[in-house]
Amino acid sequence: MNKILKGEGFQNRYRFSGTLTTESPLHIGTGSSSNDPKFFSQGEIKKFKDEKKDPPEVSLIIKDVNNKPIIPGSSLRGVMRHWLQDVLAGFGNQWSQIRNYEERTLTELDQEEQIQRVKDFSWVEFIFGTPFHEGKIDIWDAKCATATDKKNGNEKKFLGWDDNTLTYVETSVAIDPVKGTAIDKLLYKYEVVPPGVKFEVDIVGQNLSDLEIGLVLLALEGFNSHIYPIQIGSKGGNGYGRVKYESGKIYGLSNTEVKDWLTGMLNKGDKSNDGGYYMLPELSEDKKSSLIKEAKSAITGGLQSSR
Amino acid sequence: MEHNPNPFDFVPFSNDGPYLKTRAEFDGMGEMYSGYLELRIKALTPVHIVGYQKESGTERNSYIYRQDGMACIPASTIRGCLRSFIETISNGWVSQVNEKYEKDYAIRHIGFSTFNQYENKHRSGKSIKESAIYQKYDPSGKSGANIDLASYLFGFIKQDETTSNNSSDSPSGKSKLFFEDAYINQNAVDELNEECWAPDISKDAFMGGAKPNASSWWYMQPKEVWKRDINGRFIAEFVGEKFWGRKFYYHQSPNKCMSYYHPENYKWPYIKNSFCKVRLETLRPLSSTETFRIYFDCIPKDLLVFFILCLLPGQNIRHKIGYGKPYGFGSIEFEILRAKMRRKSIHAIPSQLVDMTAQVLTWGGLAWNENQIKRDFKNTFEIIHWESLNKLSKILGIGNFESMLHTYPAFPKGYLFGLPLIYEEEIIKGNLSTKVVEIFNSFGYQLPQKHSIIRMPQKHPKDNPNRWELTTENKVLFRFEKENNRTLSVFSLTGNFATPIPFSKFEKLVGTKGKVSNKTPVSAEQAKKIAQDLFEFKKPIHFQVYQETSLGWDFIKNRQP
Amino acid sequence: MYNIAEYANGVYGILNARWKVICETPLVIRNGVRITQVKPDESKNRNVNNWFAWRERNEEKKLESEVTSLNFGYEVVNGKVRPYYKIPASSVRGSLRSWTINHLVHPDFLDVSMPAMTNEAAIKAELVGRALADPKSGYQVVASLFGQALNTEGEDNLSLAGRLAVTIKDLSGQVAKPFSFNGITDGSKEFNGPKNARQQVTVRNPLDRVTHASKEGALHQFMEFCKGETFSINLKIANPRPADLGFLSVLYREINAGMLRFGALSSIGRGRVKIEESSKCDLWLANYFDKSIFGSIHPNSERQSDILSELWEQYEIPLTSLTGYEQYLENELRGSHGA
Repeated sequence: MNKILKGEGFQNRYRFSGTLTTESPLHIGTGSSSNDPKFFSQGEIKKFKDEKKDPPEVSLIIKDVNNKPIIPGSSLRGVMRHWLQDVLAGFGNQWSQIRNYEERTLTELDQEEQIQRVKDFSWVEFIFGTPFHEGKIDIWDAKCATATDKKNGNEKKFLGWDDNTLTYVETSVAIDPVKGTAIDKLLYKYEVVPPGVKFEVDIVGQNLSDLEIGLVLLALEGFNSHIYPIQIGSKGGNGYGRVKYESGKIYGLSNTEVKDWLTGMLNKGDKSNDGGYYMLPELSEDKKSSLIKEAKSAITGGLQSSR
Repeated sequence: MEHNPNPFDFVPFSNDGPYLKTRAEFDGMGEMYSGYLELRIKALTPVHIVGYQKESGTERNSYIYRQDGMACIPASTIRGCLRSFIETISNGWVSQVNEKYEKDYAIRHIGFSTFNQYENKHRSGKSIKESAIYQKYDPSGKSGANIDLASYLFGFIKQDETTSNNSSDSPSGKSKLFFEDAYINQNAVDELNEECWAPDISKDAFMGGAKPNASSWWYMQPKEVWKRDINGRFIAEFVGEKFWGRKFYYHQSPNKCMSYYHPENYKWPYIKNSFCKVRLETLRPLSSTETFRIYFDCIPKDLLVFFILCLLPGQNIRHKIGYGKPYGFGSIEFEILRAKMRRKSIHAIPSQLVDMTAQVLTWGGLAWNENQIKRDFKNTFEIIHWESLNKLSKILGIGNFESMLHTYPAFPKGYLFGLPLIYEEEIIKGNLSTKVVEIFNSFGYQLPQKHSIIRMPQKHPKDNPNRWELTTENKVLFRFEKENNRTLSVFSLTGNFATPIPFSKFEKLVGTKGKVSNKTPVSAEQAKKIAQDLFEFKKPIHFQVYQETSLGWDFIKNRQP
Repeated sequence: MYNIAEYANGVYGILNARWKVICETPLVIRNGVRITQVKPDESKNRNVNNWFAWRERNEEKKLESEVTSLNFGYEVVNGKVRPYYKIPASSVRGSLRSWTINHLVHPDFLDVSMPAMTNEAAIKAELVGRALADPKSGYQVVASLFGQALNTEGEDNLSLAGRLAVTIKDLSGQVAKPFSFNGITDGSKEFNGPKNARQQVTVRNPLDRVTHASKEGALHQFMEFCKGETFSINLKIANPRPADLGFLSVLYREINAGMLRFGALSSIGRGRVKIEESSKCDLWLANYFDKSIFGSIHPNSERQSDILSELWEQYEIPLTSLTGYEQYLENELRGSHGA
């Protein structure tokens, strides 16, 4: 199939909107930690004092300027790519391939040759990018879209709950597998986002073929798989980072539609939300399903033809 | 006047210290077995585990412990019962003890510590009290890589050990025994009734409660006799140092006990505090709990045999569990219904558990056949501390237990028995009826033909105004005191548990042996002799002397494992 | 043989076991938080009209005592925050791992399973290397399923994610459940904590061996999930092999025999559970994968709908046929691979 790079002549532009709602605790660490007293109960603080120990460090999660949790676009991009890669690998190198991009046969090519080589790369590489080309989709940071109802004020009384950041701190203890006792020095504390918190997802793609749209949609539905779900953040082996994806509107604009779109925009009375990707024509639900279906059949079809 | 043996007794610690081995040495005591036993606990006397208690007036209702609505003997209770049994007969550490008994003016003028030295500060300076138990029995890990058998079986965490030290010379390890709760079907529960209760005294600690003291030879072995100056009055004080041993309660019939302690039978003084009846909801005698399990993980065969022997300790020994042990409650036996187990496999997945019930019951049948155990289970034989087992069999021996009566010695000075209040008139008139004379006789006291009764003057406002003395030939024989508007207590002039002994009395009765100065050390024999010499004046001085002169001691001392 | 480069060729399938679990004994899983028991007055009444407050104890108040809580988390439902009890998957996974180490790893290699302190990373890496190299160590099973974190870098990095993922669900929803304390059901009139599980408070009061008095400071109370409480365990093993089915089989029978328990306080019999027979075990395998290594398996008549269907096929493995796969695991432990 013919592959078109993002920067080649404008073919189309898509915006996939939707939400991700946490179904289990979520921890996307920043790598930094804190032992601020606010993370500990009075009893714990007293215990640390009595034992003359510093309070343990609490691993912090990534938050935005408003101190609300976010899911960075780079994290989403990583897990989606990884999932597609895992699932598609066995269906043939045209779908997914693990490649050493530092190999001389690649690095020693000139840029023009590299661009040509990229077109022979697998679809996953092609969509998500390699050191030789920019991927075809951009994934924005997913903003937290949940605010808690503070009417009854109960939240403040909850042990360990921080209503400003919508997080609490979990503790896990490493148990010595042979002695069966808790290992004091291996007490982990980490901040998590609880289940039920919603994040807004936006993915934008340029020059996407139907197959590529189908693969992106497949990956988004991967969050909802019961069998092999995409998980975000750490502790996935313990069921953390499960999220539910709800598809919002998918807008698309092809090069043939640009003129109509512009005319429509100009004739529109209300000028708010006019920019960029808004106000694009929408993709119907039927179209979405059929794109996924076609992508799947291409994947398995490829299998038959390669056999 | 004869007295009943005290309800508890002690199994002494060995002078040689506890039996300790490294974990690896225990591991080597046979092929490793894992699996579980299915058992029932059968009540021999009513069994009560405290759940919630509701007080009303001078009575208290005590409901059996429940979990999610189901009556049960909690696993921790069963575990505790067996662990203390095992610690005793394997001569192990003392795993659960209070560390310190601080010097306290009101209750304990000599402070001491269980495993450490204790510094007592006096007006005259400081003195060091040695530990109440040999330090060798302290489980807190001063024994290097060694542990006792109970710690091997029930788990042991060495303090301050680096956690990554997992090599086989580490004494730490998790429990190899997992006890589950023994639930009780409601059909086997005797609801609260007037026939099942334990005595208590209201608004105070439990009677006969555990208040170990270094200034008596009741909890402690004799060490010294002191001539103690209490505001110019000199008394003889019997100072001990080492605990007699590990405490266990005798089996006896709760019915006899209830009768003894019932205030209307006037045998026990409810003097400062009135009697409180604690009605007990119990597991009915001769009925059993539901089946429950004890799991075990990697126990070497000889040690498993040992554990089975502890569960099924032969014809004579029976365990005690729960509340009211001093009054005969909580005598039980374990019944093993099923045993499923397997041997440890290496380079292979663990096999299914197989039924080994018959085998286990055969092991149980060995209790306590020394020769056969020695022949077939060398390590089991070595682990059993036969001397301790012997002593324990005298306390936990069940034979003929229904004929025994064990009671605490009365506390207040000279208490003999009580009279119903209806006789107050006779006392006031100084003219006792034949009925009262008979009561005196029934308790073993003779009233002289000629006597007179005089009301004692009230010297302090706090003095009880209703006190009389019965004298004959100018000699006071008995004292009467009206208590709580319910009883007339009858006292003699002899001492009782809490009676101090004037030093002059001590010198007179003990004779030349009584030539003691301020703090005089005594040997075990001397101490016994002193207690015997003073016996007519005060019986509960020396725990052993008291026990050995009690009713039925011949029977107790001949009990065998 | 279990391979360290587990995901080099992607993920070709998932072994998906969904166990319905019922507690045969109480279950205790904690998170280190303590709540408060409040006694109404100073009377000698024991445990009467006491109630529980889901907050820290006020140390100044004599009538308040500490109770160790069960593990809980928070969730946001319709914009409201509420606490709920949960059984953390890490705890269940930890129990499975412990069992595996203690039963499948050769005793000579037990040290390998210990978490490494930062200063011991090199020693640990050396041990792990040896254990993985020895086909009879049994350690490959642990490393492959449970993963292993090592602070080493470079080409001989032996860190890997385990193939086993555990998820726990249910504890039967946010329906208020009775709260039992010493036989008094609902002894927590004002309990403002989680109610999504049957819970009880248990008291332990160890006795002094010499005096038979209560041991000072040893009295403690803790909450537990009641016997009979149910939850579900979902185990997913990526890139499954026949030995993994054997592994599930052994876990299944060990759990049901009570030889593998969950949570804390197994010494007083907590954490024995039973896996219900209605539990399911499916294999999902990519269309391209050669399923014959699993012997005779058949696609489910009723397929679960999933985004992966059409790419992957679902095969149901009846619980009864799991035992047939134990031999594969046994071969792994003996260092002889293949069927």
